[in-house]
Amino acid sequence: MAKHIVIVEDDRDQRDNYQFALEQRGYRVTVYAGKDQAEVGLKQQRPDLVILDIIMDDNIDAGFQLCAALLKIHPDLPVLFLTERVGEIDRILGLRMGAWDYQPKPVSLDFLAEKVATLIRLSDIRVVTAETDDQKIRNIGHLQLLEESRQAKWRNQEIVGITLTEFRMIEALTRRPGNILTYDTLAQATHQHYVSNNTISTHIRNIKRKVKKIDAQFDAIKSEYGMGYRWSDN
Amino acid sequence: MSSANRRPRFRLNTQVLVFALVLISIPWLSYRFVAETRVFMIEGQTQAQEQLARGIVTLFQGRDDLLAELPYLDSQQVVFSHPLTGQTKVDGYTNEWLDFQLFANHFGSGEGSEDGYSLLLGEKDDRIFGLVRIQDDKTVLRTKGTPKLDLSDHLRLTLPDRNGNERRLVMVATNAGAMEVWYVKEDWATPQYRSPSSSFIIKAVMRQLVDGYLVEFALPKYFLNQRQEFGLAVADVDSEDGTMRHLKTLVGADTTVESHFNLLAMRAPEAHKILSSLSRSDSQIVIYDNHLQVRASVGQVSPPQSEQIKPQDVFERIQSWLNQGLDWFIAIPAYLNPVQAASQERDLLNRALDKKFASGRWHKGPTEQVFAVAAPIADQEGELLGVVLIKQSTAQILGLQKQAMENIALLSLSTMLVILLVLLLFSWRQAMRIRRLGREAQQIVDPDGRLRTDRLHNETRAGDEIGDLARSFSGVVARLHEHQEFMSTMPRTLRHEVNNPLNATMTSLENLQMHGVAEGQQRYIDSAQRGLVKISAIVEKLADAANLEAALHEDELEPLNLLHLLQTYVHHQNPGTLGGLADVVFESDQQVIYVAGVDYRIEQLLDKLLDNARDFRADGSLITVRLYQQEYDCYLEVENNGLNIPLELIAGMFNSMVSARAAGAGHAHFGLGLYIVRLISQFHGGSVSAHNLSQPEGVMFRVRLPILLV
Repeated sequence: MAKHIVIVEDDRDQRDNYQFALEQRGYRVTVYAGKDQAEVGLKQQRPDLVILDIIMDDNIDAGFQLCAALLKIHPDLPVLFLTERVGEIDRILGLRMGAWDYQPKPVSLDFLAEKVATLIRLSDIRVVTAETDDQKIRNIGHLQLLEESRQAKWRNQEIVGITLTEFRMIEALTRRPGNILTYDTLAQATHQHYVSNNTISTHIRNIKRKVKKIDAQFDAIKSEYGMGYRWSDN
Repeated sequence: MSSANRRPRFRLNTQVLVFALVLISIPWLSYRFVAETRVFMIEGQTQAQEQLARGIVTLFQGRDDLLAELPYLDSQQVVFSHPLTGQTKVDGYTNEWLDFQLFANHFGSGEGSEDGYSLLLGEKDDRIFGLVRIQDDKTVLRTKGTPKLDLSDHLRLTLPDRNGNERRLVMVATNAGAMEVWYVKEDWATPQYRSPSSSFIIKAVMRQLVDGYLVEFALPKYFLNQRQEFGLAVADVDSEDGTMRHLKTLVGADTTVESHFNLLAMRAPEAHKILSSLSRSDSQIVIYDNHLQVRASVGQVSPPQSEQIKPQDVFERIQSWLNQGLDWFIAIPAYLNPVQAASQERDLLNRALDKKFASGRWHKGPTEQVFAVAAPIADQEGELLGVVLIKQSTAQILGLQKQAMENIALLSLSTMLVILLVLLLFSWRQAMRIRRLGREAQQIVDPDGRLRTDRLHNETRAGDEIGDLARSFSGVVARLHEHQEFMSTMPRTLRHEVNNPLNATMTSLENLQMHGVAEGQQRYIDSAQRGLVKISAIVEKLADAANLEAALHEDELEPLNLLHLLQTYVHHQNPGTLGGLADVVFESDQQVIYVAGVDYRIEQLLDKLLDNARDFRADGSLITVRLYQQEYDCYLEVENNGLNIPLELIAGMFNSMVSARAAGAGHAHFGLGLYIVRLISQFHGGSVSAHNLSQPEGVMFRVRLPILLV
């Protein structure tokens, strides 16, 4: 049975493009043009994933408000923010509200489809096979990458709050430990059209912060100033 | 220097002070008014005096009986008494006699001779006063207790009583000061009894002079007989034992000879009575006979001088200073001494004796002017009987003037003081308000020229012109702040507004690709997608810069080996590591430099400085990155050869959206690079500056960062 995805986006062109791309990939898609319509529609059914814009019409926090309302009804509902609000504060706020990921615009439809697939898979794994743990695990020193559930562990403790983009960056860095990954290579791992060096560095900083909550001495990601980053767990 | 700076500056306080000085002209005008009034009053008084003189002349015209010559004997000498005015003290000093010095009677061998002496007599109330000036090369004083009185210098006074008996008195001095007065026997040597020293009936005082001595005495009028006769002799003793005694005789000691008595000419009572009714407080009317002897006199020229009272409190002291100031202010620069004044008076009298009407003025003292009128009095046949002299002092007018001026001065000073105080307070307050406004205006702009606030707070509620100015300025600040906010949020707004249509276009192109495109059309889709990626990059850069300030708050400063960072960074910049040629060199003689920093922000700062250096360097030239330490700061310099920065751009080049690049020059630039450099420098507690270089021409950006003391 096709997974059901709800898209809430006030811009008709973008809404139609998302809908078309995802339907082409086999999803059942319901679209809403505003917060109020979506709130009414989503009370009656629980979709498998919700994609929310934040600014809708004149309400600059419509997406946040809708997210809070939905998570009250369906606490385990995967929510992906897809928005032009890309400030650090917005990103943090969105994730703290319980969203599963935060994707800035413009976005590649391929990447969006992949992200949707990943989030649905994660949801399925967390709901159905939380105890089975038979997924593929990659060990790099003290780091464990659970590739199916897109989870990462450091010294056997889950790195809490790691986003899909951050998981991809760790995955890229650890593919060839000790080697420098340039900013360009790391940018490709984000699957976005354009990513500045500063955005890469911000992601790396966030990864370091999250791991340091487990291990304050964490220093496996080395800066190669002027070029990129390197994984070295020695 | 601009012309505005050359313009002389008059602060508000100075202007108020000048205004206050202008106010001083008001009391000055008042003074002029009072001075003119004084002239008018004196003129009026002179005329009144002349009228009075004519009136008195008319009264005495033909009154031979009033001014008839006294019936004295030929052998007797008449000594006239002068009317004394003011405070009269028997003290040996001649203050009260100054006006009559020219009328002194001289006796002996002649004036100025060794054995000469002079006598002046005066009267006041019911007493007769005498002043005897004796020239004596050796003054012999009486030794107390000596039985004889003729062994020392002394004065002999003979007073026949109404019964024809003579009273003989000797005035003798034991030292300077009060003299002993003895009633003596006929030999003038044997004392009978002494007038008690406590008695004021007869009093005599001696004062020694350089060329002799002076005796001043007083006795009651009733001591004289009806003919008002008296005898006076001066006994000069030149040795202690009295052997060389001789008498300077005015009146012989032989009392049997009638002619040895002198007559004391007193004022004519009838004439005095007539004049009394004309007496005025500040004027003196004197009737002289044709011998210029005073026959009647009333009034006095100057009112008695009140004693100077020592100021007790502050108010009195101020008043005393004010009085002294006014005295100085209205003082007459040159005035006559009493002898000169008497001479003037004598001139007037002489002219009147020539039957002419005479008047004159002279200054008697620093604050007193005397004006006098002398008129001849004739009998029925036109023969001169005497002269009337009226003297009046301007003291009263001057006193009034002084009083008026004192009032004006006090009032003016008080008013001026209050006005000045109010004006100074007012100007001080206004200056304070303007200064406060100026301070706030200076503080609303940070060192980089950015507004810190969107309005002014001081004075904006005031209802006056300063309030208007503050409100206008606050309005300008608000508009500028709005513009600044717009400029700073514009990249974010732009990104927000562009991202949605950009996303719609990009996803549309992807969907179009998914549908499948005709042969040869794919390259157009690819081209469109590349263009959209470029737009996306531009928007991303703009947003990054716009969000930087907020993003920096999320960063935490950590100890950072800046030397290592720079070495690594420049190493990776060097394309040689990738097979190319090096275009950046690093110079430092430091071993280690730690700063409190965020490594990727320093990296971002270096990216921007190197981008800038690469854009402006001369073709083929190297970029130098340098690091050194001075005291507690380290300096990171990025230097390139090339054109200098125009001086007018240097001040604002670290602001947002400021670019020196020509429009359309290669990549899109929004003037955000150096703005980012400034923000990151400031976030690290440092600063950035730009410097033009010469020989060779180039540009150097210097970032100062405080080092971390480990």
